[in-house]
Amino acid sequence: MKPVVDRLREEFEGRVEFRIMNFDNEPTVANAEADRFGVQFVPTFVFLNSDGTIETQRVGVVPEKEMRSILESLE
Amino acid sequence: MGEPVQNASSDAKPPASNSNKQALALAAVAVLVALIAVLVSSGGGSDTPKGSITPLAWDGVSEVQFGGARLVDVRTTAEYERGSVPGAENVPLDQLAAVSDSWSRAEAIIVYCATGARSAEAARLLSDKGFVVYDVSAGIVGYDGGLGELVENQEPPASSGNDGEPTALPVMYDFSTNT
Repeated sequence: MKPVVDRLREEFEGRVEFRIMNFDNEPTVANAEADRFGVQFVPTFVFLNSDGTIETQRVGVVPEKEMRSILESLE
Repeated sequence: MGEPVQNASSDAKPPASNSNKQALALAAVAVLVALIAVLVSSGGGSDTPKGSITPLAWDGVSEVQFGGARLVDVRTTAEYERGSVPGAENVPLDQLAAVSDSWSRAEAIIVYCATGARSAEAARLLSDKGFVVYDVSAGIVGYDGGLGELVENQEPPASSGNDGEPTALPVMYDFSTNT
């Protein structure tokens, strides 16, 4: 998934903030944020609008096309 | 006599657990589950994320800030001006409820005070409002200087503009591991 995420991160720079929650590198924050959204598995993607409401969540591999269309739908 | 009793639990997958530590242990299983899950991936639905309170030590603050968080000193303005942690903005506890109305729930909040009493109260208040809160319960008396020397009369960080104009962007969280 990483190449896809990296590509989209570049593409949506300034429009969507990407927060990479890596359980290996930053366990404290990743665990706390995972609790907040009830995340059980990796990879999980959580999409928030700018007001903080959850637009949708996806568990597992997400096709690039689908991820792009979700990102574009965020307000 | 009767039929042999099969112990179904021996090969049963662990149930979904509340513990993220267990979730980590399940990372390998998760790859398989993920393949299935993507087929039935949960649909949308807008709702506000629930709040939470996580105790935090001073040496964990920069890690949380890296993930995107607001560092808030909930002491009085007079106390803040005498010396505060670099990068902290001052929102005295009695103003917190009103000021935080304009903050995005997408951003986590780190709170501290002098000794942990007011920050605990602040954490409850913010968590009840749906914020993810980290409480540096050691307070500034337990500050080890890890984020830099205390600053007198600190200018508030530029991002703390309280003009009610939401500047936050939509956010995509990517929960992952190195594998």
